[in-house]
Amino acid sequence: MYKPPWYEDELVKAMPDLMGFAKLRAPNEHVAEDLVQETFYKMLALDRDLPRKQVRPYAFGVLRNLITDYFRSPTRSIIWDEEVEASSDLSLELQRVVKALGSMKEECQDVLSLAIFEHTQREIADVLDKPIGTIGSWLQRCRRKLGEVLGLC
Amino acid sequence: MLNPTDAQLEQYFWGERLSPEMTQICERRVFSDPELLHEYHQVSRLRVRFKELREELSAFEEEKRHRWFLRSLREEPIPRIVVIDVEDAINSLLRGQRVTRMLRAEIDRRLGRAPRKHEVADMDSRDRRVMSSQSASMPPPNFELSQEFLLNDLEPPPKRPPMSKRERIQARYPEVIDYLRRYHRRLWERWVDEGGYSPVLKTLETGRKHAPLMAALELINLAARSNVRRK
Repeated sequence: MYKPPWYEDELVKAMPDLMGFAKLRAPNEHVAEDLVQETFYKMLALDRDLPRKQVRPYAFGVLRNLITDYFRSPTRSIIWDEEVEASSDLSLELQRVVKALGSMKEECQDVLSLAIFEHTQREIADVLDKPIGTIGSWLQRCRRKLGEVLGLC
Repeated sequence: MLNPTDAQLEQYFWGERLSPEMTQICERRVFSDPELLHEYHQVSRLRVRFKELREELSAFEEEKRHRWFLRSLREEPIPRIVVIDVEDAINSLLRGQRVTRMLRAEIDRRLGRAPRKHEVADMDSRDRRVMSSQSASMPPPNFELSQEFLLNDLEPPPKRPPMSKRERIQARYPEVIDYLRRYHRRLWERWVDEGGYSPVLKTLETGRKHAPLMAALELINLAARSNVRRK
């Protein structure tokens, strides 16, 4: 299907954040790269028109679904058992944030991860296919919890 | 005075765009309520950490960006010359083994079908010259020589008609060419260090879903290595 010239531009622009999002959610960097690559594969093969502004949130939605599928996949352990966890270059404080995020419920991980990558509540609602009101309350509840875990209260 | 809803307050906390009037209303409301003010500060601190985290996670090393780029190309993503190198690398690795149908299909799917021997004979004669010069005059695995060879390889020979097939490939895939040139030496060294062993082919045969993608990447790397290995 024909894609306008700006389509790939938008994807490439979103690339660093997509990779960042994947690194935040995937078990290691190799998987993150794989999932982002698969996201691009799907986005380039997408058989529908997207308005320019929706390319980025849509790509995040695809990536988020792939991440969910990845964790549900029974074969993942076969593939990645031998992979060594990538050593984290993050500061201790940021590692704490990542760890705290990882310990939260999936919905909290979703909304907060997307918030990290500066999505608006409307965009998060689109990505997760939930009403904006639900996203607002999840965001409120989840960031309170995260704030507590991080001692920001 | 109009009271902002929870959702609007949340938007205000996170710095989302609100109308100027609503921003003012939220501001007044937050600064008049100690509990909301506390939440506001909490979100501010979280946002600082989120911003740092975003910057850290989204930072792309050049090498990784190129590697990722390579993996993201699909239909006919790799110049045919490189595909032939992949073929060579696979054949040398699988010497004595049979290439399974799944392996072949996956390679073809990711890299485009490699020309078989008889098709190579039909290739553009200029490409063939370049390929045979690669095979015949390949220097030993020495960084400078490899780089020089590759740099020479990148520059079109004089008197070539404009936009030959090779130039078109270079124009279309500058990142691929750049990647192969810049990381050639490292790939070679790794290949030597690892004793020529690669678990890739096994992964490709036994893996599911994501594994073939990883393997495709490694096959591209093998192509680069094979450039150096051939003499």
